[in-house]
Amino acid sequence: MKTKLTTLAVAFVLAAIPSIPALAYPTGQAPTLSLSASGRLTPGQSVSATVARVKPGCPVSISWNNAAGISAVSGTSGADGTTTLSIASPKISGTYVLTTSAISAVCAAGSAVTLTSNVVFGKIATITPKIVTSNVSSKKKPVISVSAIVKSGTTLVKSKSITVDLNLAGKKLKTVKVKTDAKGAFTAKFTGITKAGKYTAVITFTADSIYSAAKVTTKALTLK
Amino acid sequence: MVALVLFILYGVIRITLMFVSLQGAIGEVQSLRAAVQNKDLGEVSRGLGKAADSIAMADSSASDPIVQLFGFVPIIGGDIRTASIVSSDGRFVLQAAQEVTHVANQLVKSGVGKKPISDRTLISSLREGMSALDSAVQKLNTDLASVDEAELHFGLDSKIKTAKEVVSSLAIASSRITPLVQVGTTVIEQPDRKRWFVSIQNLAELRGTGGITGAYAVISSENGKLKLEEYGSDKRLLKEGPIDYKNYPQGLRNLWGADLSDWRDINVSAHAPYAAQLLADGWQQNRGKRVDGVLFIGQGVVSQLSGAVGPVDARGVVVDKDNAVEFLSKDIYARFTNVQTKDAVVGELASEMFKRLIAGKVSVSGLFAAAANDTTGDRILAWSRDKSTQQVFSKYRVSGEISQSFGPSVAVTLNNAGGNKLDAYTTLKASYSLGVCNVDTFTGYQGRRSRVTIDLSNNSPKIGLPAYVDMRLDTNFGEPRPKGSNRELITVYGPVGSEAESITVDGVPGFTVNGMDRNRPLWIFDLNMLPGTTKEIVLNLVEPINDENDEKLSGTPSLQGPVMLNAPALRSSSTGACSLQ
Repeated sequence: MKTKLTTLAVAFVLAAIPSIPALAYPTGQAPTLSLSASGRLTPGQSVSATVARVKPGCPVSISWNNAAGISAVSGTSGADGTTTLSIASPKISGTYVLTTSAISAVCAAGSAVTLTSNVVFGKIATITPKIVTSNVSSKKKPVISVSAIVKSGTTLVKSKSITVDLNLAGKKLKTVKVKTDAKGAFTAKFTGITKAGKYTAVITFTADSIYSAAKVTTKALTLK
Repeated sequence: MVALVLFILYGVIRITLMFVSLQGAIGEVQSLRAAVQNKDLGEVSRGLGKAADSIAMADSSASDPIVQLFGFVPIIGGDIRTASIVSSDGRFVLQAAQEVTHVANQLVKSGVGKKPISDRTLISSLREGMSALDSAVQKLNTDLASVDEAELHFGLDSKIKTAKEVVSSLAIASSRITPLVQVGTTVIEQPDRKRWFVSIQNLAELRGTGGITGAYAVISSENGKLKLEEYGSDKRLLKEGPIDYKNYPQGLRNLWGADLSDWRDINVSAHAPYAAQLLADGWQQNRGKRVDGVLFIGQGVVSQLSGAVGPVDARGVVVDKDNAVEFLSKDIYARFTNVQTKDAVVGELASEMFKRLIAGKVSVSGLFAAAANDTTGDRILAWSRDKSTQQVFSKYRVSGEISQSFGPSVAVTLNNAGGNKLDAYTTLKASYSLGVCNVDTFTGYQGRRSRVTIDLSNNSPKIGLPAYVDMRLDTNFGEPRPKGSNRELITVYGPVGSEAESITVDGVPGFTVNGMDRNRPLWIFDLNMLPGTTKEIVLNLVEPINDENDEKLSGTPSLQGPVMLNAPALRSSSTGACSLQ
């Protein structure tokens, strides 16, 4: 009898737990995570974030999902339901995920939530590459050249290391490392090409304290 | 000397011909009245054809370079330029009107709505004709608005003044009817059986696509025939249970979370296809029935349809084109304080209206009059599961999509977060201006500065509203909440690749929920609005002038305002084009 009652109770509880969050009317009832900084975020600059619409007195903490070495910062929601916390930011450019600790259903006045926000640090460099060959026949010792100008807006990105991978039918064949010149330009030359097929080059720009990482693939070049 | 005389003589003859032909066209149009009253579409079409022929002659004279030179002559120059505008723009209007009436006449003869469609091209011709007519009417209206009557003579001043008023009304009516025709023809031309969910939104409680779904109708279409399958209120939808939204984009889920699961909130996003797909998914998940398309309409469109179907009586209340908006957004809450009764009244009105529409009991003149008098900011939005049909909706800009393309484009929407019906008193003014060039964006593009300014006002009275109208259902965090106070979420979609350099609310740096949706940055402002107050939001942006392929962006700034009861006042401007460096 006791087992039956337990089974019934478990079944009842399971049935009562929806597979998706509870209804949420009116709109915008769930807690929110917002940033005070609206402008340009520089790597290493601390960020101020506010968690709002959390019941007063509830613990709230924020941390970076994908940035090592930066500790989480904790606080308690105030009478107006908000907590403003300042957290150090990563030193390398890129997109990082700022996340809250799990906010319980009681504190969120609805479903338990974990809030996340993608935060972009640093500038983005753009690369518009070209791939050309000295000869379209693979039997005539073609030299494949991959060139581009790297810039960010109107700024030419000088003296930056670039990795260029030459792929044949999607498989990496050769790699050349180059540096951009004073005009932000580079050319990578590939020799010793003997096979026919579709060649592409993947240009990789590693992130630093100013620019975010970039990866661009050229159009396909066909050698006969 | 002789050449000069001949030149002047030629010009005078051409100008005389232009005025005479124009008079002829006006005479032909005036003689159409009887045919219109007799609803003889064939005769209307023939008359419009004659008028179009006459005005084509006037346009031929107006396009003559010598006649155009006379437009610079002092005193009479303004008259000639005005006649030229009327001839040129009027020609396109009359030609498009003739095409529309000709196609409509053929459709009536083919028994559209009563028999299966025999010629599908007629339906698409009507849609294209109506779209061309609307473009022509809007151009005529814009060009006529630039004419200063004070500079006209020979009685032309009073005629142009009257024409301005008539054409302005025509332009309003056309801009409202055309989307209905574009959507309606697309629905009825579907060859296979399709099920359409019509969300009848209440714009007194705003959402991204317009308003909370207060009632709904499910309609099926098949080869020109329509059938009302079901109708009901939001309460019935709620009984269906929550909607599973886990497969929707992460950016969308981050922004709105559990709102996407609730039938009352699922249209929070400004991108109408999200809401439409959620409605369709919800119907499929709970009813096991496929929904092929979704239409969103609010009180403005309902008032237009009311003009088409005539007055509808529900529980002693007669709703017609003149009172539909006011009744459905304000008066109904005072008249029916019991929520269940209020919902039943809405359902009965919707049901009767759709029954008449589907039965083809419509008055074109009633629709026209209602459309011309509709001052709301409502507009129909449509979505189809079928890609080619969705492309048609997209082409005619009735899809409510947030574009993912580069370009100077900003969208603003509102969501009522107070859970009340106070948006009958909400007004919004917004401007978007492109400014100085030679600024790089942080996102790696050459760019320019721009500014978005939004003034949101809560004009609700502080006393006298029914409790249902000004309640607050959002969690209370101790902020002041006098009667008539509201909470609004304003969403601003920036151009692709743009960033905010500063954001203020009433001059103070503001906290916003930031996100990315549809490849565009967006900011959500959470505002507590006391009655009788206005809040000003200012976003100073830097936005790209080139795309990811380093191609220069072109186009004028576009500001898309919210679908709302009180038409928003929108303005966009530019200091000029920027050059790439």
